[in-house]
Amino acid sequence: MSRKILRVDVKNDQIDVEEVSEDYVALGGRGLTSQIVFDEVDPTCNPLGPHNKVVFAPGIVTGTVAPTSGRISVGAKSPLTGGIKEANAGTSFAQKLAKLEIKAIIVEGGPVKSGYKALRLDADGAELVDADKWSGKGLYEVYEEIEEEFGEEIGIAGVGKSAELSGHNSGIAFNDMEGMPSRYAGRGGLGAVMATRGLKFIFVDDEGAPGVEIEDKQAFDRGREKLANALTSHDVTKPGGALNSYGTGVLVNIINEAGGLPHRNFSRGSDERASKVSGEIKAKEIEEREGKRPHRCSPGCLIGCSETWTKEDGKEPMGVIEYESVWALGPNCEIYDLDVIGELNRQCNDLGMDTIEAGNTIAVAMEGGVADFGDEGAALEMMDEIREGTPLGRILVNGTEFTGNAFGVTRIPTVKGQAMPAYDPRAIKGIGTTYATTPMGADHTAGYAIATEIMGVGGDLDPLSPEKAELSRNLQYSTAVIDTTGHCLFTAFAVLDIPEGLEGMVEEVNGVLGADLTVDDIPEIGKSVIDVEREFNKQAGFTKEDDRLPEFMREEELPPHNDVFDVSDEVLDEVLS
Amino acid sequence: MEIKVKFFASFRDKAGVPVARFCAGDVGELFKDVLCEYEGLQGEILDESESRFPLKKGVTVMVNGRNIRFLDGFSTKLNDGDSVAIFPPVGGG
Ligand code: SF4
Repeated sequence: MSRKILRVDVKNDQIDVEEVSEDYVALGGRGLTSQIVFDEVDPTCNPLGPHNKVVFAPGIVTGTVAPTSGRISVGAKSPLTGGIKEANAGTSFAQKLAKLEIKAIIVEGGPVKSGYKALRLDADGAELVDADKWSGKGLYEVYEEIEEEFGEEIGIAGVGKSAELSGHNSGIAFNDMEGMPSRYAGRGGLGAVMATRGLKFIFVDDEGAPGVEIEDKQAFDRGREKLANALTSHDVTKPGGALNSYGTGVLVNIINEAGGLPHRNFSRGSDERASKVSGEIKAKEIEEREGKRPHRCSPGCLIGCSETWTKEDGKEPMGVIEYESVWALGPNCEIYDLDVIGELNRQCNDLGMDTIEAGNTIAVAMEGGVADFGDEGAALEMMDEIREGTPLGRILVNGTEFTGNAFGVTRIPTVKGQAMPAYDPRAIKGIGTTYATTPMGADHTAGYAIATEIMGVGGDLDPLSPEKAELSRNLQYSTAVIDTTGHCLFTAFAVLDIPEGLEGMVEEVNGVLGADLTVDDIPEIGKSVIDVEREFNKQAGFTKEDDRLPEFMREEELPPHNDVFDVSDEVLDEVLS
Repeated sequence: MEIKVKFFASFRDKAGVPVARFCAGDVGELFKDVLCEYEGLQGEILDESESRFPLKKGVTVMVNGRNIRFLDGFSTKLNDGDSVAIFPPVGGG
């Protein structure tokens, strides 16, 4: 294997190329970022101080022709949670990096106060170039300029104004297939960690790249075929299936019907107005506006859940509006207009912010009296405050918990400082169990119990039943493995139901690594990734008391089912112990 | 006695309407009427080979926001004003 690790120190203008140590050979994606962060970052360090590092790693099979596998993981100590963080995105950037045989990039050193740089990578090597001219600008404009200067085919990772403000809500934006900054490793404030190391962008050009070496081609091809068959036959992932036809927004109606779509800062689980922002309506609008649907975030995806949303006149394409973003910037703020939500989403992308955190921030600000719920203009003005770096903007850019505390709000929907996604844990308790216990802070992707509780994938469990320790544990372990392979998490819909698909995923990994893993190894591998993350958090000062949901969710009944989150502390403690 | 039936995603296209109103005493009875009225949905919702719970894999039916799998299945009683939501297999996140 000729893969390598790049170590970049902007402050000292240094780039080192390192061999991949034996311990890292069988890792990729989340497994690798979490291990490197654990090995190299002091868990007690200030996340924005000189001792933190941000790590980029494509998945094990990323860059090959394995279907739906264009994922990149980004890891660091999170300024938002104070614990370990891995966030991943689907983008050709990931594939290009892997094809250049780069197993990981470790960005360290700093803090740097001025003189932002961009890291340029191609088949001839790596260099740091000046990036200051793009400081303070919106990312849509900047990504266009970068493509003009460095070529349309490059992969881009970058941070926006929110990261320059050291905002705890600042993500890392990757370019989509049209070059727009719409694919995010959004959660946990990783953008600010990158910016404080002095790095604003990474550009990857894979022309002439050697590609990903495959140790056992037969095993790889066998696996690829099995996984492709599963993805193209399962009702959720197949061509013309739900994800392909409506995108992730197809969940708006079903979660709202189930009483689990939070409205007005987690005050109600259902509201008739949700239908105005549903996936069905969005897909129809996209067709009428001649936007794009279906669409892929990266080459080689067989599902194609993505889209290109435009303004009403069909102009200014902005990329995808995911279900989570529609909800966070919409119903959670009592906003039920897709064009307003689209504009808020565009502003988040432009400023480099995570939409889930941003929508929750606006909602708690509304609850705190900054504006009325449903005030669309006020929500948009909050984005301007951030862009201008006003005192209010500097509160908002630090996320939901910071903003809630600043305005005396007690109903703050966060776990470990990170805001909850689009499912109320009082109506869907398995996802609440995941929010509470994952080392990442409230994160639905860490163990997507919705699949089983609402969609009947991988079994059927009553969403209102509090007995979800086993479900959440199994999902958290298998997710850690999928995030390590580099496959998109949406492959899980197919592989949880079709055993050959899961076998195929493992065989692809065996093919790339020359290993002989089996499906039975998955829980152990997943556990080893999560154990490392939990140990980091423990050393950072986290205890089991941090694995809890906010007080109001245990006491305040959520209409329409009028239930509270009643999963006991004992059950929560059992999930990953 | 009126039951509001809501169709979602591809079922909405196949039924041709988002909402319809029916009279029925339980879910089983309601389905007979729905499938009779909307031929486009025939073959989409029920799995005739499954006698215990003849709903196709991934199809979700909720009565007032509760999945009938966790109520009384096809015997779930319906009352005036109840709302029944029918979804094809969906996913996302
Ligand atoms: S399913 Fe969607 S998010 Fe996943 S790889 Fe495909 S287009 Fe990207």
